[in-house]
Amino acid sequence: MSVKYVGVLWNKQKKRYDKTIALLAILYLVLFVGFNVLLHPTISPEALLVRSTATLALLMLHVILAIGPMARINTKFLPLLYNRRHLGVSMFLVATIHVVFSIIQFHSLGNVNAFVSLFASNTHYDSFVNFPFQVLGFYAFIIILLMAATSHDFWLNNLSPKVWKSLHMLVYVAYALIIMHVMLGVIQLEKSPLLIGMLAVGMLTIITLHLVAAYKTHRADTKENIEEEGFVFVSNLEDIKPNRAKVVTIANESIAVFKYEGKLSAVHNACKHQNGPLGEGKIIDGCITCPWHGYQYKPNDGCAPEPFTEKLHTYDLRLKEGKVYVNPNPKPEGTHIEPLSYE
Amino acid sequence: MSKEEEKDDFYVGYIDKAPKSISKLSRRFVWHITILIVLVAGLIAIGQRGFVNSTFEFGNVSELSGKIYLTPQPFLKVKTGKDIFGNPLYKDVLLIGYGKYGAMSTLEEIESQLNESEIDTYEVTLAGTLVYYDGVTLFELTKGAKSLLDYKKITRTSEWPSNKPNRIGNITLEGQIVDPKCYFGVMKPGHSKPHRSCAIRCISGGIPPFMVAKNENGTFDYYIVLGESGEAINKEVLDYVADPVKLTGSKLKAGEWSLIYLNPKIDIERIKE
Repeated sequence: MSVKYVGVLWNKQKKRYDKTIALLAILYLVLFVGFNVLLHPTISPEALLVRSTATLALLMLHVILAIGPMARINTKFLPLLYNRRHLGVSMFLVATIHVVFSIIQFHSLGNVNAFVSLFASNTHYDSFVNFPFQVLGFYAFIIILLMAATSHDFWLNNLSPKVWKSLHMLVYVAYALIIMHVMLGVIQLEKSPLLIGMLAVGMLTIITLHLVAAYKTHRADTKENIEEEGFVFVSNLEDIKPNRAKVVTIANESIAVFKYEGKLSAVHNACKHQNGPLGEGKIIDGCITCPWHGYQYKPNDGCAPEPFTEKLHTYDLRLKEGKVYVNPNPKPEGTHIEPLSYE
Repeated sequence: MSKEEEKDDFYVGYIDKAPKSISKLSRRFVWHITILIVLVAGLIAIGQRGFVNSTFEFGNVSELSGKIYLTPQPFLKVKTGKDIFGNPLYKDVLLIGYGKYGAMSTLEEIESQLNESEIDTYEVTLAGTLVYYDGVTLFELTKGAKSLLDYKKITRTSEWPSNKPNRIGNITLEGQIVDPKCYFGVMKPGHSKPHRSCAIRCISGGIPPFMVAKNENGTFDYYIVLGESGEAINKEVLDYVADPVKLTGSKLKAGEWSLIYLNPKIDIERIKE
């Protein structure tokens, strides 16, 4: 959290994360070049550059897409999510080398502008098999470029979390475009079952992880809501762990009920930063702490501690015979509600 | 630490030290990614079909001397020695321009530097970059008009044989139309779908289209693709470049070059592989 914008809020964990990304990327490039020079001594430096950066960027994209559902399935993977933007920007940099070099290599020094050549050389837009695959890769790159350019919190706040999130969900469109770029491009030449198989395994992994994570979320969201005088049952008190929350979804409204220091408080479940699931967070130093990026809110009024200004909706609670109930009508953001004491 | 306590571990990115159970899992994840990286890099190298041993002597400027011929496409005939009977031996080297251009515009610039008459009446020394593969040699006029290093008027025309095309007969070829500059060395691979756009750009720029056709010996034959009267048909073949095609036409021979003359409107057929 920060009250002003700085390039990167460096901390020990981020430095370690970025060093790991850099080392693994270098390791991949060294291995790729080494294996290819060994197995294909006649490979050209240009082919090495184009293919090593393409495959590295695609591998990084798979990891990026896997992190989200992995963290939903097991919260211990949250450190990977915390700095995912750094991985995204790193992937963008690697992809940039691939795209820029490919445009220079395949389209520059000709009788038309390189960008005109990109769109107008292969004109089989009416054919699936012969479709100009480079155009697909270019559009995917534009999406990744927009994502990298708006990855800073400055853009998140200025575009609003909703618009920002929608923009960044386009990564799935970019992924689909890249898969088609590969399938309609190099795979039509290589045709190796091994390469096709690797791509299929990558896709299946991503799809399976998303389905499992979606199922987990869906199961939590579709619990039957038992209502009593406008209050909806959340959980038995004993089932909420100290300093943790139970989440209940009522009419698409997700509410997190926290238990701490012998008290109960309820706030809207979406963090103001990136809609992170606050209910999967923890009370630290008396504040609800978001599991994604550590944004904090006071449980009794949903306000971020000063000097921060973010505010959440709060909710009335009721405790009856060891059962916790919540009134799903939200109070205005930042409204103080006296915590419900159970001791 | 009990299992229950471990389960309650919570990660906050801006706190210097992560809980043990979480950092342990992160480390394990990094090890798994490392193994994945080794596997992916290795399997991709194994899965690739390989690369031909074509050569583009990028950055290495060579000098070649000989006579320029402008038909069927601009090339330099280079004397390479003599046979056992004392007859001169030649090598035909296809001339191409810098970048994705044919040699014609560069040769016109060079011709304007000469004192009189046409460029093909001189013995010239050119600077450029060699491209070669499978017995075919190309010479990129890398320095444009400055590629001309020396020239002298040919006095003994008998030393330079005619390059008039001789008709051999009708022929049908199955294969792929490529741009020779990339195919013979500048790109790997310089053919098929991944290279289509680049080949179209090169052929649009005046580099002559070549037909690559597999022969009965399993090796490849190369034909310069020309119109029915030997005219350039670069524009007409663009739609077929890098696709599997069948060409029907007349086979001709001009020096070392094999040519196919055809009507691009009716003699090119797209086929399925």
